Amino acid sequence: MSEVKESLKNNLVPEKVEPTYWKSFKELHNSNEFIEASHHEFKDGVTDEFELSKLSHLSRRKFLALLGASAALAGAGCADYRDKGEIIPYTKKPEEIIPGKANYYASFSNCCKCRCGILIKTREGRPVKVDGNPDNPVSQGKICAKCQASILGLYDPERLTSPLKKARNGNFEKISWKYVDSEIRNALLKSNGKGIAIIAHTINSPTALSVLEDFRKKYPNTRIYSYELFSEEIKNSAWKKCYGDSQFPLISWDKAKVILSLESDFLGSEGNHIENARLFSNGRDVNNTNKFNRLYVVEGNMSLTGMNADYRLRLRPDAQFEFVMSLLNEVGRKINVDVAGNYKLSSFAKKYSLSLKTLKYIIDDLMKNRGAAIVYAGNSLSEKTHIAVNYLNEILGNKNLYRNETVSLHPYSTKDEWSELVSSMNSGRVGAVIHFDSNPVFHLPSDSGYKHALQKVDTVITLTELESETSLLGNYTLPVNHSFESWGDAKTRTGFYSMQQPVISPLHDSRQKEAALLCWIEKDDFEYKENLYHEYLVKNWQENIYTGLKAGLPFKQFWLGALHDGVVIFNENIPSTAGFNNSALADLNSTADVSGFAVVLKESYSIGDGRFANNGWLQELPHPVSKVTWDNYAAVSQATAKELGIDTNDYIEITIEKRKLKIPVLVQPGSADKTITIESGYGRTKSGTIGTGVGFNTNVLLTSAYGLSHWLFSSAQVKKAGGSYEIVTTQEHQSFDIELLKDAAQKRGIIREGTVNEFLKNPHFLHENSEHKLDTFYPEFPYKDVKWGMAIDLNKCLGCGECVVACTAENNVPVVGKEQVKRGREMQWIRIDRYYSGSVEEPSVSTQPMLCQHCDHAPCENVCPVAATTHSPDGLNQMVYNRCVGTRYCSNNCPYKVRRFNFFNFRDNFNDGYQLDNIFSLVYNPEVTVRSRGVMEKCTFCVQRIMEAREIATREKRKLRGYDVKTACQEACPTNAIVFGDSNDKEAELSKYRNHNLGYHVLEELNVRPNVTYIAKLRNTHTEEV
Amino acid sequence: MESKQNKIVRKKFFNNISKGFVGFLLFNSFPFKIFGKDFLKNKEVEVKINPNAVVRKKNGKKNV
Repeated sequence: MSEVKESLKNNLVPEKVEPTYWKSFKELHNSNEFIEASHHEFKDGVTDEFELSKLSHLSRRKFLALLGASAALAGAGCADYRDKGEIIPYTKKPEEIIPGKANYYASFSNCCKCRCGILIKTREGRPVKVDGNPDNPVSQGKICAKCQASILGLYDPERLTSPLKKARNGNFEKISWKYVDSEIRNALLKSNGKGIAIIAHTINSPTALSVLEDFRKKYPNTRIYSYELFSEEIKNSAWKKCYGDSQFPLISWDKAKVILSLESDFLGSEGNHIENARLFSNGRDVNNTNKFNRLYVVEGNMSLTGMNADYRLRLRPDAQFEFVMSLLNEVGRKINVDVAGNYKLSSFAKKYSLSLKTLKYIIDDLMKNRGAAIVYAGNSLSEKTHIAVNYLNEILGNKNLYRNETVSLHPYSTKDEWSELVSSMNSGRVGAVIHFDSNPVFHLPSDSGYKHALQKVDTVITLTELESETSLLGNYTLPVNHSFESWGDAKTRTGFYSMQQPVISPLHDSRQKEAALLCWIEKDDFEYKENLYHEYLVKNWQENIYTGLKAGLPFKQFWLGALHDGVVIFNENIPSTAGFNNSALADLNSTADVSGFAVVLKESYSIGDGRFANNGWLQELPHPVSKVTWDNYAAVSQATAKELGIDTNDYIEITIEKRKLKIPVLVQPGSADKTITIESGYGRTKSGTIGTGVGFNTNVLLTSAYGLSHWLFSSAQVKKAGGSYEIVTTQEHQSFDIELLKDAAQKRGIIREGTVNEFLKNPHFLHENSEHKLDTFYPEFPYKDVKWGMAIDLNKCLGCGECVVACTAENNVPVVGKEQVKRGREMQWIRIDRYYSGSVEEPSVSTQPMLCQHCDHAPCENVCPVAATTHSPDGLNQMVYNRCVGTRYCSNNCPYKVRRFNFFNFRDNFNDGYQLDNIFSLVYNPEVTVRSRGVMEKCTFCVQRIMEAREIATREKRKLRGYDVKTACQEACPTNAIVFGDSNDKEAELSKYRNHNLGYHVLEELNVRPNVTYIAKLRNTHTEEV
Repeated sequence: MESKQNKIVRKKFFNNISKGFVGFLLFNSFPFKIFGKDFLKNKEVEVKINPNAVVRKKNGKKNV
């Protein structure tokens, strides 16, 4: 670290040659610490020092004595102390269940407002895996990492198991629903003279809205408030000023030839990023390079979208308005349209040190592709920036890329409505507040006064799955069903409804939140039944929705079909975009506000707005850009770090008006100077064992009286705060250790890239100087039938990490915790390696998923002393867990470093046995072994899915085909970058990739004959140089 | 006639074997709990498929 600081301080050029590709600053500057660490196969602490206090107080002698004495008795008893009872077969088997065969149910997920359609795989009545519903028109079989990890939320040991009521001493005590219903009904009736507030997130269920309406009929003073921590609120309000419609349209990314993204992470976290990624990747087909799209990104910090840009410029977010106005003026001059202000692009480029050449490319491309280009502004930008962008798209004629398909059933509450609510609460005019599975105490700005006002309300009810900051302040904390235990419907787009059905009865004494409200509408003698909401839903559909659809089927048949498919698709008119309202341009006359530091808050890629903080899979998922796990941080540029005299892990204090935050720093290549970017959702104080105390709460910086936007602040003061905090990243794990090969990624051909122009000119450019096929003394094995192989298209791979979570869920990969990740012991079978190239200020980024290559001549197989790793006749490198004795020689020999060793039985090591809980154990996929301590594991190409497909083929008396199997990572990838199948089948899609001109193997010169082919990335630049 | 000593021996034998049997029953269920963590934290969970859920067959579509 000191060498890096020294070189930063003195601006020295390192003596050794800088690598072309580098993963971190330590690698870039060849720090001694990095070189030393890379010499060791395994990091320090292989033999961990045991904490005596955690060991049992039993001496070895005593233990052996007891063992001897009890051996006979234990043997006689044959009782395993973990014996949970007898397993008996079904005495009355449910009709559709065959033990050992999975059942699939269509539903949708409540993870976010997108309500992505899912297929839930269940085994013997319990859900074990979630994937996308291919019939859903939006997600088309793909879901995000949060949806994938939602299965863990179902089996979270810390889910509330029964209703709780706050006692006089402030502690919560268990209470039965019967008393809860009675007390709450009385409280609601008493407070009817006063107001009742229901606080919810996005409401896009027609039936839930109907429940709320019925509640309002019973209690007329009820008002419903809806919010999201991150939303398109400002974008929508700008759109309304421009076009009169309150919903910003969707974009046809697949039709866009040129995309200019301004501080927008549309591929990573904004909007329905899964759909965006799928549509965007349609323009990245190597089999159709003439139709490659071109992505320009102008942003303040490296984002997932920025990583995949063809051209990227860094610009502080509060200067985006000036940038758009400069573009507008430039375009306006070219097409003779009057634009306000006297902005000049060349002056702007000089002011912010931007490449004028790239800016000219932007203008040229936008002009040449009028009608097929889109300028897209991020949600965090100011309203006037959005108006300027809308006008720019209008004059460029890009309106045909808009799709007015978004539907909003209930608007978000405005700033005025919130302040009116708080004022009413403070003055005692609100008798009851019901938190409808929301956490406003954590999410809302502290200066809104909500937290303080809540304590003045007589009855505060929180309907939630887990305890939260909000539930702590309430009187009643009531458990609600997980989405896999819930009925529901949703309308997020025109043309279809999504249907939700439960696949498991509620595991705890919880209720569906809508059912709780229905219960409180009824009289005191009303008896709750579990299918209360189900009956209400069916009735609502039969009376109100079904009649309008004109389905042509009896209702029961229609209903079962709707549940079966998970969607109801029907014809619905899509409104067209109205004409541009020129009065909106009056807002463009204001000047840009740029001073001090710009601070921008973003939604976390993994835990969202904090609601997934207690999900270990998501906390351990490396950040797509920085590869940080278990924390958030303030991303700053190298120049800013130098100016402040700080380095990675040092604390800074950010002050915005009177609001302060102390947070550690990560020096992020590609970050704009004087810009701080921080992800929200961390710093929870009440979230369960996993989420509490992880990271830093950025919501303290929010304010209700925002200037530019809720999430973007200008004129912030930042100073070094003293002290340091260790941020753990995985980016330096599995690095090469040979000093002479410091640009190993390029010299060893790990990352191979080109440009579209280069490829069109010479399709064979990638292999021109490659060696011929290398000889081997190993006899060739005739793979007669199926030979499994995989291809990964690096043009489509965004580096999002959905595949990592899907693999974790499918293969029972344990969570290890921050301490173990620090030691390089993360257990994920697939990792996304991220390489920077070029300068630190404006790096290009290359990502590469790395998993077991299932080499034909696997170097790991020869060195295993006990033959625990073998090769199958269908090309898989197999792992036999019960033979493995843990020498780790196979991992030592693996050139790809994809083998993961169980240094501990992580199930009882992580957080004192958190993963050993009875309920947590239900998440394990029964088709995959749960590994114990001392055993090596790695990607198996989802051998359990291969075996299942083989069984089906055998039963159907046919040959197994390559396309019968989809690996978990392939199924999860939103852009279909991963292709899996039979290498021997020349007609298969896989063969096209394996024999493609751009196909290559990593470390091919080692002659291990890997079965994973990577398709080289092509950047769609104007020149042939990368 | 059995000697008094034999009777005492027999009595002791049956006493000891009864104590051993009781000890065996107790030991089978009790001792390990005092040394280890309480892995047997039984939350009353019943895994029951929802009877109204409509199952869907996963089609054997192509994997690309």
